[in-house]
Amino acid sequence: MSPEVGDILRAVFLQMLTEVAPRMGEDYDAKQASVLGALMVFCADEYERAAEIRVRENGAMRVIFKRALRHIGAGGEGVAGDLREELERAVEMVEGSLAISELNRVNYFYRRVLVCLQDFCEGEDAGWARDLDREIWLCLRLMAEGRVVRLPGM
Amino acid sequence: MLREISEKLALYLSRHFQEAEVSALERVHGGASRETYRFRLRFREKGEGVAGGARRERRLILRRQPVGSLIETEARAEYAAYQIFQKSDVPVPEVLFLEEAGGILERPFFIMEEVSGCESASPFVSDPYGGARERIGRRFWEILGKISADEARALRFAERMPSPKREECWRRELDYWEGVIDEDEVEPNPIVRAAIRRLRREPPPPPERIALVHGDYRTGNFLFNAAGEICAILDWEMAHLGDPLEDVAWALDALWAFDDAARPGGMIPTDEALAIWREVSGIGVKGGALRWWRIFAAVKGVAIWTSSAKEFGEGANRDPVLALSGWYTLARHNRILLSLLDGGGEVSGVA
Repeated sequence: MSPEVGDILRAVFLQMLTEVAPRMGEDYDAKQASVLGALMVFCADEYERAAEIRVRENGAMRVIFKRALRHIGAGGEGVAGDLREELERAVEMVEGSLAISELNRVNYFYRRVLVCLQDFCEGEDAGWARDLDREIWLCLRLMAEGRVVRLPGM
Repeated sequence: MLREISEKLALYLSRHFQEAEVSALERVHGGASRETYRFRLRFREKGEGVAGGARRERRLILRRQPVGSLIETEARAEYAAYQIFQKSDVPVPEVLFLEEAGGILERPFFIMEEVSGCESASPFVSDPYGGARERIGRRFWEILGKISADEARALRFAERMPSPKREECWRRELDYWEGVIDEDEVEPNPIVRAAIRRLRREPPPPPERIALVHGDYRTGNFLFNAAGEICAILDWEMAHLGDPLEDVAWALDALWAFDDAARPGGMIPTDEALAIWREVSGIGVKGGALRWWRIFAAVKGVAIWTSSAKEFGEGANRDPVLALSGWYTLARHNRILLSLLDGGGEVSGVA
């Protein structure tokens, strides 16, 4: 079995920290080596979780968009009409693969639609809009927690 | 590269000194808004002959605009702020020369003295000041109070930099940093957009008076010594005129507290910090206004880290510090912003 990417990056980080950085004469170079090491640990963690994070985020946003379509009526004009079109595009959109670039393509589009949807809900004085707004906040929390980055050793 | 900079620097300094000789040039690790180098200069004053005695020596700092910067600021604003506080209650290094056109060093730069025997702390370590944290913390907030209170120096700064009307302070800052996000955002960020909408719906009251705002007043941007004295306030590159609460909120931001949010910047508790600042500045702190500026501080942070990610991602500046800021720091600031918007991060000790 070949070594996993995460294991390789963590091993390189340890080498950088214990062998390369201490041999660097200049303080600046040693600190830059430490930063590079920290980035390697981030990359190792991300290698393991990157696809899962994006699939989960896209799924959570898709559920919100489907729910929003029940309230933002068909044939609507102006902002509501434009938003409905975007929501319809979003729920029909499918990730073509699990490649990070493909997951990001959908994720970035979804994030833009989510911004428009929340902006719309904030301007609506109706129970469904307040409920949807609450769901969006829960989704944002999930996204922020899912993307926590921990410094090595924490 | 260091050798080339060293030679060019010697050539530049020979315009100001006789027999200028630059040695021991080394890069200083830290923020990516400026390249910072320390070096030793040996020289004679112009007009001072060999008979004038031995050559003198000074330890100096070169601050140069990088190729791609995470914040677009003018060297003259930073230089002006240092100049204004020379020999004042606010400790700053002596500044010597400013070259806005860049000239021999290709990009704008300035030279100032190195404050020796001191160190700065990283905001990303636990308990950065150890046993000196109380003393340093009290002095940190006292100095900020003096900066905020100094109307005469704010007026001098206004002679060189634009001054907003009191009621325009919040909008000018928010417009600017939202513009940075609009321009540099690669990955859309619904959290910061929700925050910006909230800030626009609920603007703060105008400040009691316009003050000189440091713009990046926090742990990591000042030097202190083993006795717990603050020797110099640094990194004035975002200095501007505005609402003094902007600096207070930035210094209180949880990002600089690492693992102890009750002690902003790893120093003294929030209540005590605000009491000192209020007393020294003579400026009242209203909860709603400070709350607005605290959310704004996190938005500004997100904007800066968004720029870092873009600069690194597009290859304009491959300094790994930018990758770290655009990843780890951005993720942290998003969470801080969420907690502020959710009603967390309430500020105690305010009127």
